[in-house]
Amino acid sequence: MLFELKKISGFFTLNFWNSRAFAFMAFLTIVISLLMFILTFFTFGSIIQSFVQEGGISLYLPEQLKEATFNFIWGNIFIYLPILGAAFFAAGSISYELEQKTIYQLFSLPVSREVILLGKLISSFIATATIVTIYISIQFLSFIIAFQTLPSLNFVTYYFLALLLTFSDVSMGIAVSTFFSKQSNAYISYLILYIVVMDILSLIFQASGLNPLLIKTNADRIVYRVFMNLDPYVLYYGGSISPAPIWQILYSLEILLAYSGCFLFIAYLMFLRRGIVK
Amino acid sequence: MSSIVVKNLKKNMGPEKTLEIKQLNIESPNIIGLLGPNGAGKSTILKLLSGSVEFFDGEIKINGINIREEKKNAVKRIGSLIENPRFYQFVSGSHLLNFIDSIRRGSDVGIKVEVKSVLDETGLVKKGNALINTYSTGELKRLSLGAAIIGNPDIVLLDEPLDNLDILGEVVLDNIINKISNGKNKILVMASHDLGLLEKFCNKVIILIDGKIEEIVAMDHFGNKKIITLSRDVQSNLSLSKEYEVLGNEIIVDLGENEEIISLIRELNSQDYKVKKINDYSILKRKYLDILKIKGMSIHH
Repeated sequence: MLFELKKISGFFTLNFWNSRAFAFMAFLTIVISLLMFILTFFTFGSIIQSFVQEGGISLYLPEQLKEATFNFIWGNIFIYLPILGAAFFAAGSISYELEQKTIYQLFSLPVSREVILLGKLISSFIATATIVTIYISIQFLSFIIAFQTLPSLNFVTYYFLALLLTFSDVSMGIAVSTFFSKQSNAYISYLILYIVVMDILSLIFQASGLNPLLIKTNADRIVYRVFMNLDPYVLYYGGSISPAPIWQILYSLEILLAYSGCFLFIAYLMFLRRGIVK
Repeated sequence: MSSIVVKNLKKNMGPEKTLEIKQLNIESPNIIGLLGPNGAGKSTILKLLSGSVEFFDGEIKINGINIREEKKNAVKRIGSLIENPRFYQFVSGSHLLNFIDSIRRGSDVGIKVEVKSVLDETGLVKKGNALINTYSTGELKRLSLGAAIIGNPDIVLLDEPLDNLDILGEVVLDNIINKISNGKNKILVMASHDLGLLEKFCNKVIILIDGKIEEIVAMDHFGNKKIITLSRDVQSNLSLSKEYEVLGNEIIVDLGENEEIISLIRELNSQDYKVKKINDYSILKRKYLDILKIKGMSIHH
């Protein structure tokens, strides 16, 4: 099984890495990172000022807070990358097979559907994680250039949570993909589900006094809350310029894992049911 | 010996369409054709035999292994080309063949040699390392054929193998089928609308109508037969130097050289029969058209 899994994930990862979608995403990520570099390196002072002026804090902030603000701002923009990556690589991955009729070739191989699905998941994750890593690497380098020092250990937590977020986004993309036989429908549905439906659910939860962290898009923001526990979209847990406490990190981590598990279960059921004739 | 056994197979093909096969046994060496109008179930049978469709009623055994219970072992020795796939655009042809062969073998041993040999066989040596999105339609079809035969499978399933093939592709297909027909342990099942292809290579042709086997036509004894259409119905007193069968105003005769044909025309003329036309005799075409007519599916002039 491991041999087949390695072959399938390796083959599809190569297909992603050579694709125009990957080249486009990588280019876009580098452009975004460069813009972020310009934003945080050349105009960082005024950003900090506008960010903290309401609290009456002067520009002479403690270095630690400046560093946290720097990473917090990068993290705010980062959050969109796994969504786009998963849309490109995961949301179209199963529907592509149906649309291009390659699924018959794939299903006729002596390998179980579970292994095929897992191979697809791993390859989509690797492709999206590559994009994520490009951005975070540029963020890391920018930080060193800006502060002439290595970032704190929170940066490791940030990268780990970024990968977990990527995994949950990819799981969601794969699940959506199993419902559609056209790639474009899968892309659009994934984005609508992520951007519109989840946001509406978040508002409903907040208005009803339910815990909005149970909604994935809110749990996602733990990625940058490891630097400063501020979320402009959810006021449920107050907010602070200190990093999010460990229990909130673990809570969000559990929610992201639970979402990943649910999405993968749905994907598994749908993929297993595919008794394609037409 | 390779074998395919199908028992009490039922598969829903869409609204009010069901594929139903009570019994079908195929043993090697054999080349079987599937013929039928669109939607008759040809591709569905191939998908079921290849293991790509898993939900069905009944039983399919490949080389004695139940495909439902042990799919992995059952399909290991099957190569298939179904539905003209566009494949994965951003890997090379070599990568694709390498991937398929390694999964079928369960190891990487001997893959490079096999991939090289298949690229050679399909006339794709120069394109082997190019990304698939640079392949022409004909090249893509040849690559699909390569993907079906890589690893030297005992059972090959081809769905409309002539579609999108250029002249070079037709030669490649001929060579592939000839190679399969020389193997004692090989079974080839191909679905096609091309009667010429089926008549040329198949031992038997299964005619499918509305998901059911209507007739299995044996193809191995028609040699050089011609069908001669005459100006009037043949009378019982017609006497010819060759043995013949009568079908209304047509006679079926085994004829070789042109001189034999000319001589027979003279004989017919001398007995007051005028020859309207002479065609190669196709029992397959005749049976197929008769079945379509009975089923009310023929075109009326």
